[in-house]
Amino acid sequence: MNGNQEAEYIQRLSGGSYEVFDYFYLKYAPLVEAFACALLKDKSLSEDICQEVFLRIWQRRRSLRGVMSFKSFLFTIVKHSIYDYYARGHVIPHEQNIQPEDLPELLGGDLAREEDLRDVLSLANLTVAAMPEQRKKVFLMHRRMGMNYQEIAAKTGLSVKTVEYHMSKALSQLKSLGTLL
Amino acid sequence: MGKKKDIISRYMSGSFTDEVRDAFGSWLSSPEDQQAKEDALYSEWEALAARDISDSTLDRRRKLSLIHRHIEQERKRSRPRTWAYIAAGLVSLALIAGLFSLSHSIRQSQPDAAASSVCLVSSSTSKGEFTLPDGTSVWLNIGSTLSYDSDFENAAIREVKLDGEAYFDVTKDGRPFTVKAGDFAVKVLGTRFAVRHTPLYDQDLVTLVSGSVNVSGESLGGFTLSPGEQLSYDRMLGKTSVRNVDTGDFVSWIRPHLSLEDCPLSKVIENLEHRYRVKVSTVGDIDLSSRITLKINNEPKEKIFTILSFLADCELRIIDEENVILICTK
Repeated sequence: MNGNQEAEYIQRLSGGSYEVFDYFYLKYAPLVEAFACALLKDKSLSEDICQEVFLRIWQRRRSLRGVMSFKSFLFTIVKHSIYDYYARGHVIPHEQNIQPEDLPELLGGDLAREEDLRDVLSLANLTVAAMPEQRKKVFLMHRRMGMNYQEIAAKTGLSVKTVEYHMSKALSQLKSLGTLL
Repeated sequence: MGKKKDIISRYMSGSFTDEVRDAFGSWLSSPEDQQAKEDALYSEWEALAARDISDSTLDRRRKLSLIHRHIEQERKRSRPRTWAYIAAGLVSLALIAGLFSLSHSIRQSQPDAAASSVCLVSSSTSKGEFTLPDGTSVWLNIGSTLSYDSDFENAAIREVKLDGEAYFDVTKDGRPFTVKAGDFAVKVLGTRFAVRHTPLYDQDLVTLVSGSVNVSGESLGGFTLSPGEQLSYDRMLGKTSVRNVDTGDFVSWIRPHLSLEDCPLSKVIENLEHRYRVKVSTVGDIDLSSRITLKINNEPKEKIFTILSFLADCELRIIDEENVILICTK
């Protein structure tokens, strides 16, 4: 689609054309779903986001006047919908549970550069903060207070097996962050 | 920026738990270095857009129809009872195709409503043929409405209002005959022509079969059509164009029978679109010039389109709720 044609389509959509709306939906909905799914890791949630995005576009079609690229406009709406989704979930507190020096062991990646560290460290801390209460507690008792599994089990009243389970879950999640490096 | 781009890109192509997802989302949407993260996100968007994402057409259409339903519900909520004002003081009838002369029955059933209007409605499944009080014949296509004042017979000008698609064979009686549809009015003395004005299409059409008509509207200006000419008015763009057409393709729907012999597929589709009031979209590489012979005797659209799919050697899907028919390659 050339620029003139796109401008014409956008003008039509802002005037309330179902035909153009359908055209854009059929053309871009698969992209929106794939993009949302890559970020949210949940297929049915991504489908909901996609429907919501196009409904929003229809409701705000008048604000499309003057827009040059539908795809860029769409990106903005999609981005906001996804951020909204993140904000809808619990707000993760910023806690400093992991120290920079813990990272190589936990993530197993190659952390050569100082500037690389900051983003990964905050991701690691956020991941710990996002864990269910009990898992987080077990993880911190082990890492920060140096308690072994028996001691944690005795202190929390959980079985040793449960403590092991929580630890392995916590560690594998942090390890998965290593793949981002 | 380099690292952020890598993190975002790798996160998007990997698989992670919900906790990591939430952590990533919180990191991504945090105000820190926002521009760099958004730039990286946008380049992922562009990269994904460049890829061909496979999709099921049928499933996608189904989802689209859900949005349409949602939009429709919202529209109804914000503008309740669009029908109420039409229904007040006038008669609406769902009609089965056939010949009706309504002038008497309506006047009798509404003795008090001197200045009321008459409303002719065809149902969503059948067409109607009517004779107006002046002798003019009107064929109303599926799901269309035609209204006029009840003093139509004695008024100085004959005026009707159309929402949908109709074919008129106007009787000459010295008074002008005007069809109002959306933004424009079609003025004639005595002639045969068709008018389409429906939300299903962005383009309103006036097709002149014989005689002469004058089409005018605030945003159109004025046009005089000659036989065989069709005026198309794009409501969204406010653009008007006139072209020569084979008028038969646009008015064939008024007859119960239609015989298309050795016609290109494009022409067959044109005829069927008007006959069944559907929108036909082609998906993929369909040869619209392939020749087809088809006879129609009032069969339901499902049947005709199934036959057409055999003849054209393609796959057909009917998305009923939207009145959309897809023609796909096999």
